[in-house]
Amino acid sequence: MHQFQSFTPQTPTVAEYAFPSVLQFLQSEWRRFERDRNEWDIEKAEMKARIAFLEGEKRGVDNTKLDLMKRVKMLEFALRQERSKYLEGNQGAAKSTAGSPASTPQVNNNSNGMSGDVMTNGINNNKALNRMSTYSAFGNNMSQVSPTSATSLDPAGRAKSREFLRICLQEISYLTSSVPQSVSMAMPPVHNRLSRHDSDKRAAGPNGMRGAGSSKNRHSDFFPANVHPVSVPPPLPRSNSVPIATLQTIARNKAAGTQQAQESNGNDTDVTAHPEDDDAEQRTLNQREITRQLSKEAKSIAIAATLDADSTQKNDIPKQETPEVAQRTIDEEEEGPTGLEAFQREEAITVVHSPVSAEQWRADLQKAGQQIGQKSKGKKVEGNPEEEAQLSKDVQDKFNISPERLNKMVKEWDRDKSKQDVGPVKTPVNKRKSKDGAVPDELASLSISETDVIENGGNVKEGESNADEPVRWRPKVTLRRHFDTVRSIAFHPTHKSLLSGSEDGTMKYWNLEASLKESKRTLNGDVEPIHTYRGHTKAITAVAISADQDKCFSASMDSTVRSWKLVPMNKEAFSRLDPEIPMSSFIGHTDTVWDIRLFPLSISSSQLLASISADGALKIWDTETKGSPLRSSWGYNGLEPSEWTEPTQAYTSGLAKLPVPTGLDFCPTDLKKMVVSYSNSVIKLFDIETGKEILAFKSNDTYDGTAKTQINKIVCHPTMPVVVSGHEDRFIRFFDINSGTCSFSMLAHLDSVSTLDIDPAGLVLCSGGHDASVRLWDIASSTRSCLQEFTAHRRKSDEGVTTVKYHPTLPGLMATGGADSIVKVYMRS
Amino acid sequence: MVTNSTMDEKTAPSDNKPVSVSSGTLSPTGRPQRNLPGTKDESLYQWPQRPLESIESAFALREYLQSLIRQDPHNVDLIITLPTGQDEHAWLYEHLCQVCLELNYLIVHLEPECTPEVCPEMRAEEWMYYCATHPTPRECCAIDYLTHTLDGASALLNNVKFFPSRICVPEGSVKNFQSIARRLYRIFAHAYFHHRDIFDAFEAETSLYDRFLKLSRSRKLITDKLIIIPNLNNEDDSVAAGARQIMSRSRVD
Repeated sequence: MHQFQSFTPQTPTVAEYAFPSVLQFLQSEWRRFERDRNEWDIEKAEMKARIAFLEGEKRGVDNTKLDLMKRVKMLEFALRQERSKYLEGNQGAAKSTAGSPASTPQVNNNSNGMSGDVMTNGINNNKALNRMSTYSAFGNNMSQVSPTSATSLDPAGRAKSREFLRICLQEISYLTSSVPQSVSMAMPPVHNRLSRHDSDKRAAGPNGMRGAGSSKNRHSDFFPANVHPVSVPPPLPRSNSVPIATLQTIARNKAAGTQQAQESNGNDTDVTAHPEDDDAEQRTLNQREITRQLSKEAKSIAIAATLDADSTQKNDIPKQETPEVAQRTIDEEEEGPTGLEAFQREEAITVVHSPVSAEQWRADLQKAGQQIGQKSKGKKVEGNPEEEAQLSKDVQDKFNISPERLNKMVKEWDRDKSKQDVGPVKTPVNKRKSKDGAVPDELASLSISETDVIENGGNVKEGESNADEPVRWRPKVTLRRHFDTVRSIAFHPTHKSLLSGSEDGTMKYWNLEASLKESKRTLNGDVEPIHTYRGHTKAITAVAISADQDKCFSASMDSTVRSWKLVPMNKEAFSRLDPEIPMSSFIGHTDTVWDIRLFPLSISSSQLLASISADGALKIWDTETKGSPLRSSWGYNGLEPSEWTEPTQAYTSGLAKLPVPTGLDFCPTDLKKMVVSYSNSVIKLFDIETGKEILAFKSNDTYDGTAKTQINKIVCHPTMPVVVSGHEDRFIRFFDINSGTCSFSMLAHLDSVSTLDIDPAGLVLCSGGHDASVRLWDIASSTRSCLQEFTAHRRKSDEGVTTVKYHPTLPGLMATGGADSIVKVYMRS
Repeated sequence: MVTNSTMDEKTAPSDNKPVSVSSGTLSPTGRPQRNLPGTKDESLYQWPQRPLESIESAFALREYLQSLIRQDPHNVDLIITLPTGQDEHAWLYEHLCQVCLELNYLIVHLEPECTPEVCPEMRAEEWMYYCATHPTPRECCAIDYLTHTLDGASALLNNVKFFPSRICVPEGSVKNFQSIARRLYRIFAHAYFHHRDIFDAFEAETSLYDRFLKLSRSRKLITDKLIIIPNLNNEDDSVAAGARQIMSRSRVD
């Protein structure tokens, strides 16, 4: 058979499916998958960065809106002043008072009183009035805004001016609120979809609750879970917004490509959903038509009235085609008009009273919408600060409006608006308006600090998922049974249970199932461990759980690593001792074992465990084998081929003089490798199989020769080739596994960083320090801003938080252990 | 043995930013009192003894007690002496916690020998004990009794309802000390009467029973008639520990 094969090597034979080749194939496949996964992660990070960028822009737009609001308020005030002046002059000429508001534009334009087109404006105004008069509910709010300064007016005149003001206000809210929408329109799909859902909601008519819920939820999908006030300075430079600076641009391009593809895919599906939308649109068409006309007229007034800043901006918008807009696919264009912003635009531009066909109509709308989009974009980009400032100043000077007063006016307006939002208003105009209010509010709440979140709480809590909020971890369960510093904790990979190892020499296993369900915080420590593992003769330093084997492991200062049977979750406290529980000891280290780590993958026949000890050695154990468990052992310099066979006594004793390992982790991105940090702050990358040193990181630049700058903990990023190290000098540093260079460094705590963990999604880094605080870092952003900080434990002998851990599979579960002998379990709220 | 006078003068950590006050209590030497990962056995806990007043943490008493024990576990009188100006009950509380902590290790040593087969009942000389950690006292085998008692004691001592603070102990909780001490005593008693060699070796290493007995007696936690372990030796100084060990070993043989 072998002979035969050797003669005909070309023909594929059965022998080709030999075990090694299959293995090789599997490996290559697996590697491919890993690569893909990495790419996706990069892409995801890209998207995140983009979202941050968009939010920055949004914030800018919000500021613009506020600015505009101020100006509007000033104009209103000016208007009232002028009107009362006018009325004083023309007592009894009440019928023409409607014209007087038109004097405002002159105030703005040339600041020399009223004249000219009073009549034309008056006519327009009257038209508008007729339309508007049906919506009395809206007027009520307006009357609250208007101060009662013009008490001497006759009621009819007052009502009319009120109507006019109402129109003005309405127009303003259009202009201002359509700005963010249009800007978002110029951006790729996220906001489009968001607003599409808003339109769904609107189309759903009176029973818009469903739509409201869904849109909020969708909405939450598109924003990063963690927004911090300081995290995103307005427009982020694009290049910096990539989380890890070392991401190759190739990957980026590729990701962008995929993104593009996904966009069009998403839009295709959107298009298929159109018939429904169209129906809905037809149904609401009447309503809209009214609104449209109204707004059209209001618009014309506004333009005639030349709200100075706005109109100049509008007029001198160049019809520039930004590349981004030009790039947009036809799909997007089709989708666009169903969005809220398109709706608004349509109102803002022309009369499209009776669409010939849905397509035609949509296309027109789209075109118009794009123009507006560009306009607002142009406006946003150009800005006109001097002019605006001058205008504001002029008006302020003219009417002696103090800034305080202005702010008050704006506030009043906001309050009324929010009242409207809450109130059960039935008319279409108000509905739309409340939406205009609600959307930006909702958006704004995303980026505002927690106090604001509380203020907006009612708004936020009802529909929005928690993931949308700045994530807050809150203590849920406190486990107090240890007598000394908790050194290490480990979650069960799937269950809600936790293992804690303490310096009191015991390891306790806790079932959190019941206590996590309880609504109130069970902080008084009534949770009883389901088992206390006793066996080590000195303090326990590290624990680990292997669910596949139903085992747990502990490392101790007594130089041993032990394995234990994992007791069942339903075991009673104070039951009979199960003699099967202690399983085996891994003896070989000659000094304190400081940390252990399970190999991320377990195969039924073997589960590797790596341990590091103060004797200088790193040992890899096969925890399943019947024979000698020790697989390999190497020191600072890695394993030389000669040592592989027989580690000599001289070798092991020589180890102790070399730097000793202080932290270790397997690389989830390349399972053949692991990283080990040493007491001289060097991080080394080793090949697990051969024990060869692959790379020594340039991580010891900050090492000053004493333990004060040593590395206390290292963790590998779950999806990217990045190692994060926590240092005694209070820094957290990020290293690229491939190059070994430091890509980021930050002063993270007030005292040394003792422990680190990265959430399973790879977006948040959690660090604990001897300053007793736990901090969460947004490592998906380039700034690595701190998302949350809380004091978790009390200090004992200069130690604070000693361990932090995320649950590996259940999101929203985290635990910390500290020198105060307590384990705290947190849930995300 | 490290004494207060031998504090080494190390410079404060080279902070480029001043550590805020809240960051806590660096020892006067500037060296943080913590075991960093990678610390070798001989360097573990090798920091100078701090006077109690200078320990600012909430665990000052515990830290002080532990450092005393680390210094010399056999210097029983010094260890059980109430530090001046401290609350008697808080000191007692810390001591009982520490006894529970160290009893863990005694159980670890007992476990291989004290199996349900060897000791099916919890006995100490002619006494037999029922396990009180269950709703109705039960006849647990010795090792179960030991672990249950210890777990029960740690549950009680860690209960914030009874012991909400480490600085003072509510009057109502003081009576718990007696029941805890009484039960912990039985662990010693069982070890003494049934696993004498383990007891002696452990005692030689830690003087835990000696500490516990002296503490309980001086604070009237256990009445004399409950004390069934005969006086090991009348000496309480650490010098006798070695001799005691030799003697007890020979007696077992």
